Amino acid sequence: MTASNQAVRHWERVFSQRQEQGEADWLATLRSEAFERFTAQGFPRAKSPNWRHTNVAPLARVAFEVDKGAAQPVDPSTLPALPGAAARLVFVDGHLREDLSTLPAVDGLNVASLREALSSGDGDLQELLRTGSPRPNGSFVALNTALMEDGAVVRVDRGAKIDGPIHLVFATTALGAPAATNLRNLVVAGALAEVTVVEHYMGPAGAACFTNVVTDVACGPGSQVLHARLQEEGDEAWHVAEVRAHVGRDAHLVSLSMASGARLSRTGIHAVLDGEGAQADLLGLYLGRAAQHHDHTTLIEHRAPHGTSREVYKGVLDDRARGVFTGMIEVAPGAQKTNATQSNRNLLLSDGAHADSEPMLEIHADDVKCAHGAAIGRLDDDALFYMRARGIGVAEAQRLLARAFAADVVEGIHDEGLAALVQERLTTWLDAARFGRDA
Amino acid sequence: MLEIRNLHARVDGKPILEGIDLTVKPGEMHAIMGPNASGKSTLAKVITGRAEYEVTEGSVTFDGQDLLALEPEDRARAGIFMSFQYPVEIAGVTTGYFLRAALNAIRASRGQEELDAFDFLKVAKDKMKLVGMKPELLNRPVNVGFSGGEKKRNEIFQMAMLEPVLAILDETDSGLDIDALRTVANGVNAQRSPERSVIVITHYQRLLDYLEPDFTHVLMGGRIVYSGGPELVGKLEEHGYKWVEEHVAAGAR
Repeated sequence: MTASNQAVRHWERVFSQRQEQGEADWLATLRSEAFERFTAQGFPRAKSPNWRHTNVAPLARVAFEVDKGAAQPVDPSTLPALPGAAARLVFVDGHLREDLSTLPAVDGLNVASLREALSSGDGDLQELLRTGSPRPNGSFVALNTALMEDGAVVRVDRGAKIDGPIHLVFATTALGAPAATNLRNLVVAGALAEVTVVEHYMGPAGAACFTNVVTDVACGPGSQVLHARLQEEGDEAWHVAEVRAHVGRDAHLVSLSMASGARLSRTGIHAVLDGEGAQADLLGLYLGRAAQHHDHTTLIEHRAPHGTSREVYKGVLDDRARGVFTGMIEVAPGAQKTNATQSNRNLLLSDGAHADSEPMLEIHADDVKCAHGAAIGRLDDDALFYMRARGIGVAEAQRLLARAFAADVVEGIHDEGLAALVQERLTTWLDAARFGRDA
Repeated sequence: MLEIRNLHARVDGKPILEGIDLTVKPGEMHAIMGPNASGKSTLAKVITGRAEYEVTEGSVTFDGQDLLALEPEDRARAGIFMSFQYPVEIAGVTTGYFLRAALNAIRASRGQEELDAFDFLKVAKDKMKLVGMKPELLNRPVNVGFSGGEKKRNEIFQMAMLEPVLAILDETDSGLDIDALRTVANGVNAQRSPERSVIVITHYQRLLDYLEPDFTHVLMGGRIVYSGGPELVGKLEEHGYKWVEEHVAAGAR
């Protein structure tokens, strides 16, 4: 039996042992269809499209347990705070913990857990959970759909402007056996709504857990949505995520993905600009040290005219860390006057660090502006010497330059509290960076 | 204060300096002139510690300590400043932040308290006047989008902030129009004191018309081949470097 088949057998056992709990027929069907897709595909292999640089074979070999259910003790002081947040939902090992969450009533805002929404027979959910393309994380999305237990459902009414971010904290505790968590989030912004949603993943060092998450974001006409994910999992964690966003007419999505945790993380961002005049800004910052591996695979689909997309992804890699960026921009026939720019730059702080950058354009319209650029480099020797010649110590000069390198990602975040948090995390990370020096 | 003895240095395996001897005492201003590729800028970079320049022989001592054993930042903290021929642009770091970090690193090494943002700004605005710089430039990234003149003013402004014991001006006059040249020269002159020494490296005499050095040296082929007083500047302007070559050749005969 191949390793991949073994992995599928394990998940078949897990799927068959799931408690049905009297689920609606459509949901049971959705799950079993998804699971069939997963068993047919198996985990991605090195030759699978979009998986050339990221090896998940070691992940597939682990027999993760799911949904242990028991409430684990969590020290509330260890949970991250986001200044100015309108609400905070805390999920521990995949389950909403109301005792740790703060959910004030806000006009036009409706926040619930997926579990709650499913059990209350929410009619829209069926449609929302069925939509979305299976690219680029294919079989992980299928596995997620088959096994999803909980997550956050955030809805914003037409015209409602929500002041302050919705902070979704997903914490993992140090469980005994390797545990998998399948989270499913939904963000639905009505026409002209404004909202910021921050997904924040964290976990303890040394825990070999697996977080598999899918988030669907629907930006109604004229809405403004900031969707951020901060991935700060423990150093032995596996993190696979898929964000699928639809951006409607004249809507504006800002997507941020920051990755600094986990042994391996793979984040797929798929933005579909399907309304005329839609705009999407994709920001990314990945920080890698030790033997960490961060993969971002993004797909921006321009399906309507007059769309604008701007993508800026930056990686800072130390020690033997590896960063992967694959960025596809597709312009459909008829998506005239599209303006798309993409940039991926990587800063290698040590000889052992490595980056792969693959920008790709596929253009089927003739009146468009598309530009992309990729770079992999080191700290500028001239700038370093200039700083040192002014008395700034070498370590501080390196930190200053690396922080400056990431500055335009931080500056692209228009929520002040979130920008400050990202800046603080970056500074802390750089303070501990070795810049290629031995530990 | 600065003692250079038999200094040999090379870059990429190619010898550039082939036995420099120079003594600079407190308060003195020395001009080092010479044709292109004579080693003038190499000397400045060796003194400030640029890693690519390898010293193969000789010594440089500064206030009695072995300068060549120090990291570039420690040389700066000891009081050495270089005005760069090509000031470096640093995107994402504002001039104010950069300079405050530099000033506080130097102050910390001297056991002085750090300047907070408020006090720093007060001092900085005052010193910017010296070279006719607008305070807004403090909020702009270091040298990014600065004109050639602004970059050189920024160098002299930094010198005023860091108050070095020894300042080395590396081709500070290059790329400056006559007004900017005068402003920059006035900025340097205002900083002269009996304790502060200056080495002016230049190809042309025009900056020296304003600075009036105490000593003038001619660097050719990696050596100081001729030294004199301020009057040497005029002679060089009149007769060119060829005159020195002939003069040296005649002396050697």
